[in-house]
Amino acid sequence: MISFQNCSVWYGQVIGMNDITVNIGPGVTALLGQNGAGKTTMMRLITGQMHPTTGGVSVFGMDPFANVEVYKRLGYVPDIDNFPEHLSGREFVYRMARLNGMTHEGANVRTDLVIGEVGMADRCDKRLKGYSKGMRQRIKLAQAMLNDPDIILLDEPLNGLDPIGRREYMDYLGAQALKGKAVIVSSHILFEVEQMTRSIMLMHRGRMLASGDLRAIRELIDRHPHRIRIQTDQPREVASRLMALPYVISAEVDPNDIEVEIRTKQPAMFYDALPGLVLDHGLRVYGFESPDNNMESVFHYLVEA
Amino acid sequence: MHAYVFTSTLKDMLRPGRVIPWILLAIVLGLVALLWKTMSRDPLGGQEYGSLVRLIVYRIVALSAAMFTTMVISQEVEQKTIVYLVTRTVPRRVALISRSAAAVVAVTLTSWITLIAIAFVVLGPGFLGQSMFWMDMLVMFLGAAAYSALFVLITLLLNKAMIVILLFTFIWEAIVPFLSGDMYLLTVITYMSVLAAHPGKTEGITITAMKSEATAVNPIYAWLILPGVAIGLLMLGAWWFSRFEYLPREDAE
Repeated sequence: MISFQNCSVWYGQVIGMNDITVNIGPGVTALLGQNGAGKTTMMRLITGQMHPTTGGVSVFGMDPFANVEVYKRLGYVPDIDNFPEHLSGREFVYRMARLNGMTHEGANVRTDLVIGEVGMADRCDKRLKGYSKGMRQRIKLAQAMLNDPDIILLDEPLNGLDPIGRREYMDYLGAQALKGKAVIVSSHILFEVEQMTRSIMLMHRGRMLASGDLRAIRELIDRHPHRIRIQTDQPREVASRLMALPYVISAEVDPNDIEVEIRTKQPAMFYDALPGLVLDHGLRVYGFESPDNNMESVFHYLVEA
Repeated sequence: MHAYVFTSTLKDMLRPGRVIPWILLAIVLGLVALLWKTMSRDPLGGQEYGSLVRLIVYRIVALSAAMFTTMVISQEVEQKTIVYLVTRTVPRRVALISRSAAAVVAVTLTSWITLIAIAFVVLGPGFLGQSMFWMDMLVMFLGAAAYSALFVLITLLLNKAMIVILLFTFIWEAIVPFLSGDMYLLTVITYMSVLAAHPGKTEGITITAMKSEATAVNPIYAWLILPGVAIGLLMLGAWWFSRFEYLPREDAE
């Protein structure tokens, strides 16, 4: 659906995006990076607000810049929090619907529908200037969904939402992805998007550090051994058994004697061997987890690298 | 032109909070005219009316254009709401033309308020029967179109457009008509004055308010130039807006 080919963007002397080549298809994709990483620049290229300095961007096989054919199939939730404040939420969404080419009747119907979908039906007649941050995020989502888009771009959409709102918002986006739409969510808060998807694009200072499945990316980072925590009431015995495995680098027993943390450069082999080891030696293992499989650690490893 | 873009923009521009200052300004200028009338030894007539229109009302057209044209694109960029305009299915050039047309109407209506106030005070309640009043209405519409097209283009080209626009309005338009040579041909107010043809000047229909009789502009040219400038600059602005990037201000700088 979306394709970047050797795409770079310069803001004067500052590079906003550095030679990025990536394709984005259906499903939820998280665009991750710190502030200034180039996420918003990427969003603006996809939404045709900017030209790349070099390289090319195509959306549905077309140049997206000022392209109404692209806008008919694209919904965008910008990161800005500014609105025509004198309008109510309903008036704003209706106005956006009319600017999408809908008739008065069609715009009214779609406005009511999307406002209901984002949970704003009971509050949409208040003026936007009285809206909380979370309500604004919902209205922004409503206007993005007006034309039932195939691509939904959301720039920092979870900012300001309360936990319930966040959950509802994520569920809504997940449901859209299940319909075959491409949902691209940018965020600098890793744990938020981690709950939505394992498919990530990680940017740092304009460069694409990694893209793909989070776990696959993690396994490619062999510079940092993979940590696995095993909950057991026999941590020392478990540690000694695990240290016998050739691909386990180290084992550390928790001071409270409730778990052991091992480090390995070949996690797949370790996961294959662990069940047999437990059964053969009668070890009592209650659970295990990998703190390295989260986005935070992947992000830090890649950025530090 | 896109009817909804035009009407919604016009509705925004003519919100009470934005129109009331122009009504107050018209009242103040009407009172000034009344003071002049009261303190004048001779009764005021068409010549005095013409002077007030050229010196005050036409400036109001330019000032109003300066204010309303910033709402076309520049204010959207400043307030960062431009993103909602440029990612819609209305083509950019159509959006710009429709919003500019709304600005022309808003400029015309708000400056007409001042014209009516001045005409009422100077010409009396029968001002509606005076042809020069109706000609001024038409000339102000053409002037509004020319100023608006020019100012919209400036806001598209420059980040700090308001400074340039105000300099044009109060320096260029005020001083250049008095300079020797043909520089006066580069002012909008020259053509407005020629078309208005207020009484009180020899060969009034071909002489600007500020120039001597020797520096005439043929009114036929004036009829062509004002709409021509408006349409030409508007088309140029539409082309420019559809080709170049317009991002929220903090990112644009």
